[in-house]
Amino acid sequence: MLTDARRAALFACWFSAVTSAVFFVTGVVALPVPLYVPLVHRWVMSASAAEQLGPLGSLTMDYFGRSLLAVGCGAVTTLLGMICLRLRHRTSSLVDGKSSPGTSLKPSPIQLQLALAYAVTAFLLCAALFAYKLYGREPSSPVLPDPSPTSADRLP
Amino acid sequence: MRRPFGRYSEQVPPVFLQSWGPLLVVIHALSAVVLCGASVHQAVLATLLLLRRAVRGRLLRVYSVTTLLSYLATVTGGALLYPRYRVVIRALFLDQNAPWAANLFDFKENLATLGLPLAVGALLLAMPLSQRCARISPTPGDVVTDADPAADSDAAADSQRLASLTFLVMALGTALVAVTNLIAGLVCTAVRGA
Repeated sequence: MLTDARRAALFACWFSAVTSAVFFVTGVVALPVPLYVPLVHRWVMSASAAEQLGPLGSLTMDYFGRSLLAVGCGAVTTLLGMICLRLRHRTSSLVDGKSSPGTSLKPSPIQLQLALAYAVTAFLLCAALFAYKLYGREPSSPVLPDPSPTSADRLP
Repeated sequence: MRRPFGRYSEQVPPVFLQSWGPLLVVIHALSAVVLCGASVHQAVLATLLLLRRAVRGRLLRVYSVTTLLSYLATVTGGALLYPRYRVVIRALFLDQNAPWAANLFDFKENLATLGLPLAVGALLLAMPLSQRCARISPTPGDVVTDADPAADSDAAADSQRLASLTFLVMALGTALVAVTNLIAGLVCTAVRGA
């Protein structure tokens, strides 16, 4: 866990900004992501499963794959950033001959302002994109057999 | 002839955890209510912190941990329910009768993914900020003093204030996502329940 609030703020903004940016890209470009096909209980790595699985493959769920990709990219880049900062701090400590942890390599106010601005902008842009895409979207599910119970089903 | 438990039609293949749907919906809803309460409390504490009012560091940690755990529980419950929703609720009913509800539900799901880093970020920030709260002693007027022992210069003080602002943005964002999703989920469930 980070002990300095400034570094924590920088990495929190970085995680949010990268996740929102990657999620935005998955909403614009049909990337090959893990698709779940609920009617055949299968995972497919593709942008579309219809051509691989026939009619049942037209009912797919890309939400899991897109979410995993976005959150995974955000988490991995944040962890890499933390490791790089730690290594850089150790290197500079060795060069300077100082061993006081947490006294150097803290983000400046300008860096924090920029990080916060990027995170907020990416979040708002991504939320606006999905609001725009989903507002008035036409139904896309394949026609399945009528599930309404018949009068015989209602009888005890 | 009776249908197998949890199946809406014998002609539609069963989906993952179909018969557990009602129970999972209740667990999902309960964790969402906990998430709303914890995240709104966390946002209030973040506002007080930015206004330099006295805040208990322990409360900051408790609400941040509760928010993240309930967020993960809600997202996990929703993910387990999603295959059933996609076939039984959306494909069989909402797409034909209330497509706007299906669109609202999908927006809620996407918003939930965007909100997860905010909850994680709020927890990352709550830990060092709660330690800082413990170092600053409140004045009798319930207002925290301006002098921060950790702030050794004006730039450091600015950075600390920006860290508090970032915490407010993360906490407020999490609370907004949680409340919006709770309302959207209730509306969709009112249109077509579990």
